[in-house]
Amino acid sequence: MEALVEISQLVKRYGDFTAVDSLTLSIPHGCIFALLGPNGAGKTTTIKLLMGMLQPTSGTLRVDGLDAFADGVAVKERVGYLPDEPAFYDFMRGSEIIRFAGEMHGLRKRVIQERGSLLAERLHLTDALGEFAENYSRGMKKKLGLICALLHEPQLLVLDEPTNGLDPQGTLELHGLMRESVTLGRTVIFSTHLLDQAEKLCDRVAVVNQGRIAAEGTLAELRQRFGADASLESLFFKLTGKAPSPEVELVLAGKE
Amino acid sequence: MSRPSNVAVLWLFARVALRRAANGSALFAQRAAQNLSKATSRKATVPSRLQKSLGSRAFAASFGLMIVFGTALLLSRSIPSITQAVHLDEMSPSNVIPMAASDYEALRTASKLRDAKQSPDEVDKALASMTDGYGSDWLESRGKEILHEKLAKQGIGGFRAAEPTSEWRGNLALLSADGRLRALRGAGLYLLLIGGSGVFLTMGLMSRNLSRTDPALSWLFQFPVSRPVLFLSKLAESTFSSSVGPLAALQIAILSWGFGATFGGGLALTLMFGLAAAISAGAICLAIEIFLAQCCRRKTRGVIVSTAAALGSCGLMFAAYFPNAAPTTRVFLWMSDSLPSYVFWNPLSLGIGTSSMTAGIGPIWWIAPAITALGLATLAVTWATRLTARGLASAIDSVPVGARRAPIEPASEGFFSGLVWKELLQLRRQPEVLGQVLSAPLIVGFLLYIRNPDQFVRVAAGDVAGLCVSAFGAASYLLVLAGASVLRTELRTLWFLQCQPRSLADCLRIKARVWAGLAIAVGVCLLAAIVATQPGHRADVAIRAPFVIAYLWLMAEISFGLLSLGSTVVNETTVRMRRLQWVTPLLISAQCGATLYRGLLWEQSTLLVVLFVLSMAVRQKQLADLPWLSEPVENPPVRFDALDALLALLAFVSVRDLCGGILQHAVASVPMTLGGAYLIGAIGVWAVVSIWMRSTGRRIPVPNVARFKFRPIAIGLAATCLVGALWVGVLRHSSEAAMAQSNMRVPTTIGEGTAGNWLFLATIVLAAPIFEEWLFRGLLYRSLRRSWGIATSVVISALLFTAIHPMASSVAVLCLAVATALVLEKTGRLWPSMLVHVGYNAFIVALWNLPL
Repeated sequence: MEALVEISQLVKRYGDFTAVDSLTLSIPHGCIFALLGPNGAGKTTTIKLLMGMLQPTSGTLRVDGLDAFADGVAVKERVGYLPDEPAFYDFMRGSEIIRFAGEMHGLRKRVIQERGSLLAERLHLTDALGEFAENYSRGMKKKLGLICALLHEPQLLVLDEPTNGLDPQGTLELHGLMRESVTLGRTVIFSTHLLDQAEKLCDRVAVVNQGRIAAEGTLAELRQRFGADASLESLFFKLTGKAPSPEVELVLAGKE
Repeated sequence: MSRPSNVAVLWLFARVALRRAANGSALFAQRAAQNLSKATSRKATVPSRLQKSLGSRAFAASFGLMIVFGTALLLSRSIPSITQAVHLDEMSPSNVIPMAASDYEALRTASKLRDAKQSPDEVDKALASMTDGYGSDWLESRGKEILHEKLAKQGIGGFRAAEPTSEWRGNLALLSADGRLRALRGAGLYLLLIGGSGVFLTMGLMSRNLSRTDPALSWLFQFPVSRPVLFLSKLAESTFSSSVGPLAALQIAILSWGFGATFGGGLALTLMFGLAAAISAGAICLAIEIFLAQCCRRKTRGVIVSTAAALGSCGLMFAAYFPNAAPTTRVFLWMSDSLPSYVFWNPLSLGIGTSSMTAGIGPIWWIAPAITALGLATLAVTWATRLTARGLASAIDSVPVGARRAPIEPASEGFFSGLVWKELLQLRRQPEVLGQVLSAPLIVGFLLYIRNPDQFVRVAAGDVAGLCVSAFGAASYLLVLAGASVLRTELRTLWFLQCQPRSLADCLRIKARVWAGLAIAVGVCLLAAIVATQPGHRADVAIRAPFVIAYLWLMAEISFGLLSLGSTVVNETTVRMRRLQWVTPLLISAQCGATLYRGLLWEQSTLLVVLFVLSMAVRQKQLADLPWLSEPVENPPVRFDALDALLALLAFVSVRDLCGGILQHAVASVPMTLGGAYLIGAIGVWAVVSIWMRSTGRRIPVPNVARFKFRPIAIGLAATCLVGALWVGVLRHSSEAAMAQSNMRVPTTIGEGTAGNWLFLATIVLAAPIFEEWLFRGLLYRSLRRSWGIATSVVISALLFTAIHPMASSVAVLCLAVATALVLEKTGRLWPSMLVHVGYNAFIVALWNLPL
């Protein structure tokens, strides 16, 4: 089966700074895929490129066989996106933003209402939907953004640091939603720097460092390649070359 | 860890602000240097929308200079004009009029000469020198009238040389002590007006922070610094970084020159005043900002802010324009006369106009503003500290609990209605947007009135054409303002639109259409009012009304499009717009207004065509460039678009007309002028465009047609010549007037063979066809063809081609344009369509010159 997302030799430069450096990746249908990496590794840039918000300097990026930038509109019908810090119109209430997002996707009003209230109920946002979205806390904004991203039942869900700012309950619900999406045949890509989360959730992992893929594969494959007993944490440090300082190691050792 | 001392915190803030102010002034020089080096070396630079092109930077620089010079000019004219008005009042018949010593000498010699009947002009000259600096026409003419009357009645005895005073200079020196007080009160009132309007306008600009407390302030609140120090630091920051200080300093520098201060004294006064004004303005703004954020509900704030913005801009316009009109100056003087003296002890007029300050420049001139500024600062800081005693208000309008469980209720379906609904929701929920935008027509009316009240009254009384133009102007100004303020809010949440399955260009287009509907509604209401009040002129309104509506519709797309193309999304709170994109729609609407005023059907229709093509070109650029609108900023790839082709056309028309005007004086012959101007314009524009395209790498992709065909050329030539012959026949048989209008009629005297005629003939048969094919088919048609199909591109380019030709030849020219575009399409090369055009023109010239 052809992969859902095909990235080959992707490069993105800002002047002299190279944010993404010849990144090649393919993500199959129906899996949870995690982009791991330290801050500034190029995760968000990759995701923005995937959403067609940025144009690659060179290389191609295809979603379901469509070019992410040139066929942006068609790609966005298939993708739901949650940015790290979603900002909303300051003059609209939460419910109105959901309605607007649904109408932009051309959904019928019954569908918007049904799916929207179902998702809001699950994410415990129903009580706040009458409030202006600008007054939401960060976590609430994330939840609202998630509802907007899931409303049109996209084939691919792209989440940029999804659990940042969410409460434990929200995080659990989010994980549930992600697994559920996969059982329905959808694909989820998310970026994170929280390793335990990635370990619990994902089928496949790519570790990004300085704009390049340091390693990619299922967790089992990675373990096999880099030593059988290695935890994702030690793998991460090994691959990114950002090992904790000896003092930290000592503290960690003492704790255990 | 120790807490930083209060002084250290204050110093920190002041240093940041000072550095920012210094950077701001250094930035211009630095950018100019960068531009120079870039222009010479043309190295690849960081791709960013912020890195503007040399042209737009030059424009921005000249715009800035214009503002500075304009402010200086207005200030140097408006305050002196009060003095002059007072001076006029003092020239009553019973007084002996004091004159500057040199003027008095000149007048005495001149009047002696006149008594000897030698030179009456010298008297006029001597009297004129006294009223020369009066700035306004009405002041000058009234002044001359009074002086001549005086001279006729009392002779030279009615005048005396003023004693030279060290304290006052210019007209102030000629005034009596009372008159001087009046003039100074006028100046004080003027400063009050400018300062007050500035404060109102600043309040209007605070709408950015309407929905929450200033994020910078809430960030600062986390530091271990007491609140008074915090607000004092904020005050220090705004003191140095606002432009109020320099402006006030400029005002007082001009004033102190008028008061005859010494250089050192004037400089000290200027610095002191500038600082005091900056501190006062900062304090007032701080107090208002904290008050708005802590005590007002969101809606109330919206209303306050929009009213303040409207009042502020009205006040500033009044201040800028009042010296030009007699009644306004009179009202101004009357107001300053009737106000009690203590009013002038306010911080904005800085004590000018109080009697203690009219004695001359003494220590009180420095002490008074300093004390008021310090007092205001203390008050503002205390007030802000008290208002935030319970912490920063979150400044949120919460909905009542009952309304909280709001179900998601879509009332409509589909993306079009969704966008329209959102736009209307914004208008209802953000009263400041609607207020600012709807107050725009008011400001336009006010401006028209201030510029020339007599004409304004005349227009309102009977000139229907002028009224229609005003209706259009008001509505189109609304569009430009709306574009700026609405796009700003839209682009701040760019990501949200970007992840919807609709292109940004389409979303913005629908936005433009909503506003076009609103502007048309305003325009139609105004037109209806005109029809109702001017029942005798219905036909005049009827011929313009459809064009007003159509222009507004297209103006909306053009101005929203240009504004969005000139926008840069820096982050979620900052969206920048280039000024050029702001000014262009205004210039276009001025052209529309001029055309509407003349009300000629053909002219209005051609402008409609031009606007239509422009809106298509803007749309093409939007479709190509808006996907690049992103954060961080990026530059779209360079292309040659229809918009560039239109710019080339505009450049050609301007150069041709300019050269025509110059040549007309140099060469007497009409054919020489026409031909020469055309050639200069064509060659100049061709050279500039070619060099520009080559140096910037802009190219138009040319489709590869492998095999060359002759048949399209033959068919095209035959068809155009046939239509041309028929059309010439119709014209020659219809009327002589139509023939005179057709420019093909000119070379009837080729047989005589003057150089001018040969030049004109060469232009019309060779140069014009080749250049026009290059411009209209080579540049415009090909760049249109990239985005649209054959039919659309042919129709658009042909309509524009017809629009720039005279009405008499319109049908034939339309056929020619269609034919040459199709020839280009079929052969894939440009020279065959040039050939057809040359053949057609030669045929038509021959036809016209056939003896009948």
